[in-house]
Amino acid sequence: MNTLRRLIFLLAATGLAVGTPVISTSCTLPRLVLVAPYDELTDAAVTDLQKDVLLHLRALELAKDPSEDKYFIAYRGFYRDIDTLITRAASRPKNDIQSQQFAALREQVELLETIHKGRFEPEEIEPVRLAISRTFRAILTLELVKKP
Amino acid sequence: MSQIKDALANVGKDMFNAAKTSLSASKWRMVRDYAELEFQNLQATAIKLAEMFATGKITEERAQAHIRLQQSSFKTMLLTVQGVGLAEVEKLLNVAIKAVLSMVNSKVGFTLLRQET
Repeated sequence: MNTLRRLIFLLAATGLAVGTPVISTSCTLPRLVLVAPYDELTDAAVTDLQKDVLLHLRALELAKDPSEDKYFIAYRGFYRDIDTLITRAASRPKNDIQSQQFAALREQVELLETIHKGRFEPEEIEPVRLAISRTFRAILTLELVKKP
Repeated sequence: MSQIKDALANVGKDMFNAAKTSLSASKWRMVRDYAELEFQNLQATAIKLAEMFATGKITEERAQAHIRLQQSSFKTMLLTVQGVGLAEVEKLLNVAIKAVLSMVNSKVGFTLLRQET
């Protein structure tokens, strides 16, 4: 399992080969389940949320006036979706890591909103996009690597 | 602007060296490559934010939010490493930040870095 988790980390850090099945079933020893099994609903919901957040960042980047109210409405949907994921993660046993990742994702969206509420400079978008993309990649890699 | 860049030129390296002591040798070996990259990233972000603050492009509150967002993303990544729990990740970050906190805050002229509670 050390090797597996190391591989998960490296995949998440580099963004390579997301979704590659790496759990070998050829081992003759019984397989220990140390994390919650793959969850298709979580996978789909996180993928959709990632798309929505990145589209939101792109919209802010292109906006003439990102302080318009219409750009703040999106956060309500993000919080609702993340809270649903947090609840689902908490209801599944052996799922502490994912719960902690979702809590961190919520914190990051809250911080994005804080940044957005100020006088937003376009050059501020890129570091935010990179950080949030890394977070989504870590969450999805951890989920997808469990896919049977 | 190059003064700020020069003053913060070793922040990433100093954070990396301080963080080494926060984990066991075996766990450190598993996270060190990524930690090195991420501390360099934090250094670059701190320089960028200090420059933006100096030219009035960003407020103190927004600069702090940027740094916290980067730290939170860093934590999320490290949580995927086997056997490294949230408490250890937070300890690693706190040790690294503590090593450079007063120097960075004094050079940038405001409280950019804070230790996590």
